[in-house]
Amino acid sequence: MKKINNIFDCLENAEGSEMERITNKTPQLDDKQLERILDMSERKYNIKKRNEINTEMNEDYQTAAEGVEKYTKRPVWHRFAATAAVLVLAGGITAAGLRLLKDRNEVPVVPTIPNIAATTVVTTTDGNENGTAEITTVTADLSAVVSDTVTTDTAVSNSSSAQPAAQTTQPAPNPDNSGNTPAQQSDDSAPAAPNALSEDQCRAVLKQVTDEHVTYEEIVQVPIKEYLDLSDTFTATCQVTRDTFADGHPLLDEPNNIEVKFVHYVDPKFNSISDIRNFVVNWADRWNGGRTFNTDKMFGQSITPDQIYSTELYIVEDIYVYTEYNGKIYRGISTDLNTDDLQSHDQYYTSECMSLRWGNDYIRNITDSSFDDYRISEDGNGGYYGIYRYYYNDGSGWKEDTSKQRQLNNSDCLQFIQ
Amino acid sequence: MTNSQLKTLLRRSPLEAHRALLAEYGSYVYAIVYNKLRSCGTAEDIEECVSDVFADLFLAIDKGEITNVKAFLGTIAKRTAIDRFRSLAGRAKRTAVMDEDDMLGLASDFNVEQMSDNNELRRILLDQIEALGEPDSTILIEKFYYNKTSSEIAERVSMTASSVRSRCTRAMQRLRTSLSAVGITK
Repeated sequence: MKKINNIFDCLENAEGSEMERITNKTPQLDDKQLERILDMSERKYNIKKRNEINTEMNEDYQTAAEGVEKYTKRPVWHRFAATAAVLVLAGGITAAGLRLLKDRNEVPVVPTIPNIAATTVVTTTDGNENGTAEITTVTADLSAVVSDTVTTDTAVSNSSSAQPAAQTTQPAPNPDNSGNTPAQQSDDSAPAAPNALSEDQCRAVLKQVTDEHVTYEEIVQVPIKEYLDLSDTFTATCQVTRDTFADGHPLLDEPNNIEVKFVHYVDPKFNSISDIRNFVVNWADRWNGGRTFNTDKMFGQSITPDQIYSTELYIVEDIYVYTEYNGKIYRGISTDLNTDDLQSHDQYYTSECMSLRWGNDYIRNITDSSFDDYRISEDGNGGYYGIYRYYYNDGSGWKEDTSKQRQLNNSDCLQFIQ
Repeated sequence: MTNSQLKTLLRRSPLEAHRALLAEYGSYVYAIVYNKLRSCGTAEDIEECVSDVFADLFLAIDKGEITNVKAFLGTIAKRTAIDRFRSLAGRAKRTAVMDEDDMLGLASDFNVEQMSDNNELRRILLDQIEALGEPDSTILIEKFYYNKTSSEIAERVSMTASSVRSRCTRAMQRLRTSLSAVGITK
């Protein structure tokens, strides 16, 4: 690809009649392009339409994960049968071990039981018909071959039950390959992970991701009505000194002066610019692999009325910055911004949730400090697509390991749908 | 397409109605989005943004919120493109395919120091381009603004690629002459 630097660049950002004149010279979309765009549009339209229907159907709109596979209530007699089976198994292992110890006078090797896919899990239901909580120790399947195991329920422990719990064993697509037969992710010989999270706790993490994403967008991108005191403003000028192409070739020989309106910022979540900056950096570290823009420019400048501050390149985060003046926080916005059309936080949150909460979440491999999230949606053409994310808590808070994130193709998704 | 034609088509086949809307207004929306994202977005970014606009249109039509399709599209396209620009800005500047190296310099290196107002320059440039008449004005816009190849332009204007190239060179020479007459020189 070659760089382009020509006088036709000045046609960008046209408005009104000039835009109409350019439009009249715009070539029609060719057939392939039209079909491509139509396909994308239909997919997005179907997603938005379904999300709107889901919103209307839910009386209490849930911003937490939806569609998490529900586990069926077990008949009560299963509980006793399962307990008996576990006792038999444990007794047999112990007897064999003692026999070996007696015969050989050395540390016994506990015989492994081949092809047992099941692990012992603890299920706590929220309550039976009588309203009392049940704690069930369940062995999912004692005789299944590893690769054929299908546990129909995702068994998790309620953390309030204070019972030790094991890692769930639901087979899931191996995140390191695509389209292949999913490998069983449980390890028969691995010890049970204590205090595995509940699905509600996992959903709470996903809600936290959404909430923090919205807050991040509100700070960096979207001015929110109630966070701006439009009666308290001042203006300054940002001088873009070196608008260039990527190789440094100058676009303009003289600076581009941009008038910026600074508005008193009154978001109750933040008491200082440091608080805002720390949130942005922390958000990037936890959910974006540490990647963020230059926070020094956005949060580290001291700007006063009528001042001219400069930046080299036309980068939005370097121009529309935050500053402290007279002991108050001010946010820079474009003087072209129609402040009558600003959204409220609730409006923006709702619209963002509609786009962020596409699809259904299938949560797997829950431990006490991590879980897999498979978010899957229909593609409007009878198939499915999705995204896999891995969330973990290293003791300093929940994070996403973005290096593991990957797209899910139709065959990946069907293993959940079917 | 009138509103009643649209309603009839929607009743018969929503997908066909959507296709018809895209065929009628696709280039209009594309022009608006391209105008905003040309400097920072790839062709894929631009098409994706256009598809976002039409998805919103289809949803709004379902809800019966549209009285003027073109006005709705103009507003949504501009807003969506600006939002996308904000998230894309800061990436490496736009690059484009140029199929003939010798044509690279034709539209570059103009001295625009005297033009303190980009709006004025834009107006002048459009005036002079349109004064060239057809098909030269279309060829120049498609070549140097939309970065189309000579082959792509040739299909649209029913010429050969070599004719497009030679026509483009002559048109740029004429444009340069007319621009220098108003103070914009190399």
